[in-house]
Amino acid sequence: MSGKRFGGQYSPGGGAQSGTGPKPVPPSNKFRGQAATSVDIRGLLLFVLPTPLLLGVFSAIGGGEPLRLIMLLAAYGALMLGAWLVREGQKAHAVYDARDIARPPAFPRKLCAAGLAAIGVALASWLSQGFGGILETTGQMLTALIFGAVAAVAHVLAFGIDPMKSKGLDDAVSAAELERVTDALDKAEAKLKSIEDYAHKLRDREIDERVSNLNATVRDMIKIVEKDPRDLSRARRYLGVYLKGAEDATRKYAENHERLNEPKIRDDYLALLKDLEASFTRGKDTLLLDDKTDLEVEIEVLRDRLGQEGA
Amino acid sequence: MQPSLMGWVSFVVLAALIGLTSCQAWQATGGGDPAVQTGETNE
Repeated sequence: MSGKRFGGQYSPGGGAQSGTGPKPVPPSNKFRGQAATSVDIRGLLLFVLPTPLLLGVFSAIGGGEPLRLIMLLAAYGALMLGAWLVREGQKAHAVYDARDIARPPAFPRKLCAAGLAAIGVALASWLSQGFGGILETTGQMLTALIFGAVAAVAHVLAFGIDPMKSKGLDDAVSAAELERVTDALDKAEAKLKSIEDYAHKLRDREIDERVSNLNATVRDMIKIVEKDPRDLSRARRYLGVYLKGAEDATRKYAENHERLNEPKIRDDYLALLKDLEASFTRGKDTLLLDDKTDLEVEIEVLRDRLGQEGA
Repeated sequence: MQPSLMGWVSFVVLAALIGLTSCQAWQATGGGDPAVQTGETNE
């Protein structure tokens, strides 16, 4: 016994069922090729813990203590900036881990976050020991410095440090080549993100699905290039020219679709996305086939040599 | 990546340092003390 799927003319894909609209987009895993992002509760807590300093700011305003107010604001600002930096550092680290070849992040966010935590804790400790007497008592300043140092060490042990070395560098790939490949892949990722953002703003389920399918295919190609950076020369046309074209088309469609409001433009745009996806799939298959051919040739040569030495 | 036991212990130390020094800095301004907030004195 088979049931009839619920839906009508105006349901997603409903037009297709009645044979009047475009073909429904085949279902696909839109998260294919994307790393899962995890929420670290510790990173979120760092935003909450310095809240008493903010309350202290209000007390200092009420008490008419401008110097204390500035110090409290500085401590609060340092801790909040550090909390934000450590989250950004974790994201950058996750991107680095997800890639087979990658450069270290340009800015050491986690280390800077540790430094800011040290400054924030030292300032808060100094303020808590009776502001005003600190200039006379070096002991209080020393206590603040020790607290700050302990906070920095605890921060580094809790959140680690930023990646410092490039990875995926071996004999087959020179440093300059690695730079070139990571540059091209970073640019391709940025274009994918931009396409996703524009498509999402359109609030059109079918376009969203098509763009997700296209981007998943592009990410497959990026993975192939990461595995073997020598493939970049063959993938450059796809990751450069075609992807730029897709980004421009999506941007222009997003900017003009409401003003023009022509169904034909939407159909043309959907057809373009479909063609691009087919083209990227072909390109991806070609890369895999080339890799397979290279492997077969290598195995053949090795077997011939073994056969000759055995003879 | 899940943090190790050492990571958690370090985080607790860090959280205690930030939380406690922040609370003490607030208290030093007279915050949270009803006597200071209402202007009462021992006299």
